[in-house]
Amino acid sequence: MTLELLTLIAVSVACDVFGQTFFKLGALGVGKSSIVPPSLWVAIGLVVYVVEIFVWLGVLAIAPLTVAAPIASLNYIGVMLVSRWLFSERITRRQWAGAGIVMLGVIAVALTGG
Amino acid sequence: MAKKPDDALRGAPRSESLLWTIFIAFATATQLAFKWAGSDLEGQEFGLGFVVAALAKPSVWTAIVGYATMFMLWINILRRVPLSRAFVMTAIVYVPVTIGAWLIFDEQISALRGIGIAAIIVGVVLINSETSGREAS
Repeated sequence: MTLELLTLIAVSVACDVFGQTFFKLGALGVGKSSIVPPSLWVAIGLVVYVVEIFVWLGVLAIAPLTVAAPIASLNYIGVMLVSRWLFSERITRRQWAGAGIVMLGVIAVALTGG
Repeated sequence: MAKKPDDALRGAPRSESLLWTIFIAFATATQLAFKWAGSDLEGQEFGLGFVVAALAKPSVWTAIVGYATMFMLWINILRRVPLSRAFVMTAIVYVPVTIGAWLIFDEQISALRGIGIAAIIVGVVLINSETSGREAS
């Protein structure tokens, strides 16, 4: 797996996690009384998703779908961590186990190249 | 859980399985369309030129339209289906996507890759198994 591919996948996963985080901030109405209206979070989230479309195309211009799509499931772990650190949501042991299993699966798929 | 208008739909398995079928078929088609678009851009260095080249490809627009439609479909599903079950759908999509990529793009699925994908499906279901549907909406 080349550095370019790894970078593109990392950026794509980051876009996904940031996009969801911005949507959550919008849904929570963060900044209602300040200069950042909640709808701005949603707008930023949408922009991030548009950027992600092209990054993802960059990934698929290089890698097979059966390598790229499974690795992109790292976004579930990213969203889980953000929920924990930023939104103080409780993560159960079963969820941590799930994250570990996803991680093992991603490593296995990444080892098969791309 | 209090009965709300949306909960009535939850009790209707026929409409939910229809939703599942539509979502899984659509999500699979969209992912395959993205791969089609990606292979259309093979060899193209990533950057501004890549984006310009991408916007000129019908395959890219097919994928984008599929993506936008899926986004709206997903929001609709979240209104009718509990979140933990909705995420089972997204995990299951890996199966037809893998089969589709093998059939259409001739991608080879080694044992290790197959096991990895199966593990990811299990892991994704576990991660999302304890989310309450109320939190998301």
